[in-house]
Amino acid sequence: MPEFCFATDHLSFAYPQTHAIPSPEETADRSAIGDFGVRKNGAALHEISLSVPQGQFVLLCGLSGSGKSTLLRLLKPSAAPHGTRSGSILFCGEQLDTLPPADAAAKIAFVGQSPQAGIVTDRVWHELAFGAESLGWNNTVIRARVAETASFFGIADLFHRDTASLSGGQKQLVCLASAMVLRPEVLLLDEPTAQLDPIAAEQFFSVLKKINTELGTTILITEHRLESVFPLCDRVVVLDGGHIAADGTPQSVGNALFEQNSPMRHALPCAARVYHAVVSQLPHLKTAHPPVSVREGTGFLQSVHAQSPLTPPDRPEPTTDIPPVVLSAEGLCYRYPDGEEDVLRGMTLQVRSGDCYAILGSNGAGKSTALSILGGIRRPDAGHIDTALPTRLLPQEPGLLFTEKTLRISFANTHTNPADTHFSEAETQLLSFCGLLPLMDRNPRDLSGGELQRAALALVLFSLVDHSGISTAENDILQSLTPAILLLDEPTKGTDAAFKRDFGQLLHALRRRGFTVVLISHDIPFCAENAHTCALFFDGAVTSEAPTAQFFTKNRFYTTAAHRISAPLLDGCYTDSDLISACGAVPEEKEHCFANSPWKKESRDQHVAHLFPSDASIRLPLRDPVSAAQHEKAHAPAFRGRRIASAILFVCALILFVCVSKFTDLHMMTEFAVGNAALPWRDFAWYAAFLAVLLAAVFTAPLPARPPSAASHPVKNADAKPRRRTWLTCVLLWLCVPPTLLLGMHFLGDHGYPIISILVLIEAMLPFFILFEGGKPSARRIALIACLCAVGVAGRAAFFMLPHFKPVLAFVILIGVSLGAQTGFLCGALTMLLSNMLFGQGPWTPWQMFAMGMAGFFAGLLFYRRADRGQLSRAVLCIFGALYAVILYGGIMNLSSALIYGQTFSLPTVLSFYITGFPMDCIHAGATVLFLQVLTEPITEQLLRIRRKFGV
Amino acid sequence: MKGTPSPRRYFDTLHPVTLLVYFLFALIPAMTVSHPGIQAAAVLGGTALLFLISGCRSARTTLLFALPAAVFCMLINALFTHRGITVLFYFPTGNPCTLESLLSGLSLAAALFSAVVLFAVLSRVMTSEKLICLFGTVSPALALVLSMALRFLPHYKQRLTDITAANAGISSRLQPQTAHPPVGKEPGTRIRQAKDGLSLFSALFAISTEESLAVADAMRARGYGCGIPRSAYTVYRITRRDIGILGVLLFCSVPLLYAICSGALSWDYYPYLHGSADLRAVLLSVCFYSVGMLMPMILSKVNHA
Repeated sequence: MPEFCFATDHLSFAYPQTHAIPSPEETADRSAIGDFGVRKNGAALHEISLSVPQGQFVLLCGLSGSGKSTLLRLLKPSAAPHGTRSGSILFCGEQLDTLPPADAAAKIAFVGQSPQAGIVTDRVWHELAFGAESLGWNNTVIRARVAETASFFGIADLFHRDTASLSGGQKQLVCLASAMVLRPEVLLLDEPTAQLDPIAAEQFFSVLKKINTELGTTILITEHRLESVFPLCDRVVVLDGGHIAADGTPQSVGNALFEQNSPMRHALPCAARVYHAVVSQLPHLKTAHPPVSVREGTGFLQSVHAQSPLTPPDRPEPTTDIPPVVLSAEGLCYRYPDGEEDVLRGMTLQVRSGDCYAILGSNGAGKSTALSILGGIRRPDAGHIDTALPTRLLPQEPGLLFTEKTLRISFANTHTNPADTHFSEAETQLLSFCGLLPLMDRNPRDLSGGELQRAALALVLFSLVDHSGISTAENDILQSLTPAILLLDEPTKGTDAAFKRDFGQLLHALRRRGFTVVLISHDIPFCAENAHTCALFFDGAVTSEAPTAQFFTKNRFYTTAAHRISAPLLDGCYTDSDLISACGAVPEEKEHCFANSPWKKESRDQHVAHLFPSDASIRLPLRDPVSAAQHEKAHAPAFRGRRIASAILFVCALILFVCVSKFTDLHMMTEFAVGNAALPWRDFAWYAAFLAVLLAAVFTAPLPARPPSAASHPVKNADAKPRRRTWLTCVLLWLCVPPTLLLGMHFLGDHGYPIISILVLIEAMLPFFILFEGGKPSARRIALIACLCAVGVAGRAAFFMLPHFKPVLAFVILIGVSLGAQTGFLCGALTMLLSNMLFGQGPWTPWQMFAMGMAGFFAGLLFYRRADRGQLSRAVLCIFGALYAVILYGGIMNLSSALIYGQTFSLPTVLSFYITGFPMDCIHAGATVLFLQVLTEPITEQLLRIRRKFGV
Repeated sequence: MKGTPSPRRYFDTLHPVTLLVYFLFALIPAMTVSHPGIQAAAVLGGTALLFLISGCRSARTTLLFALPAAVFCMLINALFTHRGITVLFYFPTGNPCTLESLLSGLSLAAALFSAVVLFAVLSRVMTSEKLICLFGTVSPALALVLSMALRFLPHYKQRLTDITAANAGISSRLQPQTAHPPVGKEPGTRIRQAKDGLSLFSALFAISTEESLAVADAMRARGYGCGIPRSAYTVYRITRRDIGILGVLLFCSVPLLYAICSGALSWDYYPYLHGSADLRAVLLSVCFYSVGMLMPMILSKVNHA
């Protein structure tokens, strides 16, 4: 067994250059507070040589942009980013590139940071079985493995649950469990707890430790929550600027970081920070084992206390002048409309001017709901709120606020005239204050969590700019802002220590101006640093509200690590500077350690879920499907024989065709169908013979020889071409349609129309599905089609009360136009199937599927090429939509009604159905035109962006 | 024994393939055979099934839809088909209304009614999970698409709420006040609301398409598309009960098929009512059909008697 699980040798990696030269704006702008950085070049990793033995628990840490995520992703072939790589990666002694994809999937497991993006299917059992299904295991094996894994992880009771009903922590556990079903040898985790609250994060880490100790799986994890992970891991690797800055046990790494004076030392656990700060000034207190966990920290303090008693910190007296109350809530009660229990039970709070009020509490307690009530979004069932200042609520996901193509447009929308993208002096200063000027023309989807949070804050401040002619002083842009109450919902979720520091300074500056901040947070260190008053939210009300120092020193569990370290020995310490001064050393100055340091890099979008890495990553060079072996086969001697046979058969088919046209009589067939004549056997025989020979000719014709294409050319469309056998099946099915019609009409007569029509429809639609299946669709294609179907179903449901006024036809046409005929058909058919699955089936389902599928198909056939070249005209689309709605969609659906209700095929019946259905079809056409007018631009633009960015 | 499990519970325990075969057995004769005996059995059996499976409330809702549809069908037939020799009266247009067309209309109405009722029962019993399981046996990619679409749907609903709340929270309502108006009912024109709705939709569309591609990356990381043909895992297993029911259905369908093919169940309304005179064959086939259709009910009672 090879000794090392992973071994990299002089690994270097660079993202492709996307922004070649920084603009003068970017270089000249140095805002007072902000953590931007100019993107210097694309290099992300420099000569990393790392060897990870089997069974080790390795923590990769570093500031944003240090390359830890890049390194982790390079170890997983399917998640590897696109760029230039040099150096080698060995997995268990073999080159990682030569690992077959099935092995790469099974032996190397990857868990990302977004629980939402990691869940693929709708049920937990399906989720657990997903990986095993992809590897083609049979039912019995899957059942056994899934049962075992679910029991090991303790999620057996979640087995039949809907994945949408799980909490974030449960989702992440399910992701982990489904990765472990495949029994991987190594587990790679990229900030798995970034989106989780502390309790769920602790649970997750304990499960990871269990996996490592009991199963011996090697674990590589990148994390920002070093406090929790340091005591668990065997080895810490600190990356900085693409180099390895420190590598060793958790204890020794602290030494190294402090010796190098690296800014990462501020991210170390509290015990390590305190130890090194104290020991650097009082070397006689050095011990053999630097503390890393809370317990070890307490041990260290005890040893210090034994040598010289600890002195508690002295706190300044509270000021006597009490600022006025700006927000007061009294007796708030609230219950969700479909909820069974009260979420808020008589919540009462008061916030004073200039205060930073932090509300802490466990997940799901109702804090966000309370904040939304305070912000005026929901109305409480009882109680009332008094505000002396306007309120602004920043949501948990700031990305939801930016719905336009670029930040600039989003900000311009706050003007009275949205088309005016010129920003006034005050506004430009605000943007630079928040460090946003270099980002103004970027798409919000490409920004990181921290950047979006700053942008959301700037958006809010925009609305508070007082335009009534106050001259803005040179450095005090804040004077022109109307003070308001800022309600922040988890502002530091998924961000790193640098951002938290800078954001805290930002809030401090705003508070000096007169803003009041109320924030909800799980981030205890952040609240300890920045809040004045803290309150615990429990059981629907605010309990134990107190000034920060008092709050944290009175709590034993819900408090900072510093307090937990010092609580047995000392009262009143809740920050590490308190502890350091208690030991007799001098704490470091609180400064902008990160803002101007050369270590700072542009953050690389690693923090927030639902965002994509910028254009430069996750774009694989696709493998060439035609391998050398297949070429050998094509050039075999049998090749020529098949060619001759095929030619002969084609000639026979031609002769038969001539005979058929001469000797058979179509009129006899219709007579037979209507029931007036007997089965014309001879004619049937001629037709059948002709078809058989034609098919034989097609089947024996050999494939044309294709030159081997270079493996490095990225192919536009990732899907394999469907094989010829698939095409044959399709053609056969289409050819079955006329015989089905004839035979059915003859044998079943009047009563047969519904059944025959359903059979014919199925035969007509099956080929499309078979082609889809045979084309081995890529993961992106499937995910995109599923997404579009879900949106279509939601759109149909949204208009359920208006008969025939539905956006689905317009939507399907636009999909066909943007993504092609086949995708258009699939989305149309599956949307109708799905919505009928959810809202009630009927014999009309195949008809609707067919009609809607054909809409997408024809739209794709007619307009796809034109849209590609940019020659799409909305007017033409609208005309097409209207015509299709009346003639084809209406035609098919009215025919279906005639067959189902009228059950005859006589002309008067059918015509009557058409006539009565015509007004409805006109409504439908009108709705389609309206929706096409309105939706063409957003939908086609977005789908075009997706196609370009991800090569779907 | 405490609490006989309801027929609904019994259906839930069956494998989707059994359910499919059962419904085909019930539906196809109901929709294709024109003999009044079979049609009566289908109507009565279907209604009984509806009440037993769906419960009285939703059964009544379905009937509210099915009965007018059936009546409509009968009327259409009476109005438009003028074949038949027994004339009852003449329309103002001069066309006759014949007894045969009325009766034939009744027969078609019965077929329609039983089809609607049985489809309603099918919707109740065949949950999305079972349907996906059925698809999975033939087309794993399709089953996966459906499963993923079902996973995205509630997620998008939630996202829409989130986006609406987020945008409401930062809107510029500068006046401090004690009572805040509920979201969505901002004073403004309809056009303004429609525009807001449109921008919300495009926001949701942008976010959802990009999220779906993140899910695709997770799929690839878990081994999707690694070249091995995909299998489809189901939680449903074929039990002895399923095999038993399938056997019974097969047994019941043989005499039925024979009767149909040999013409024992032929019945035509035009130009006058005529059909097979073989009462014994008709009775037998109706019996077998009814037994096949009501068998799960019988079995569910018998099992726990």
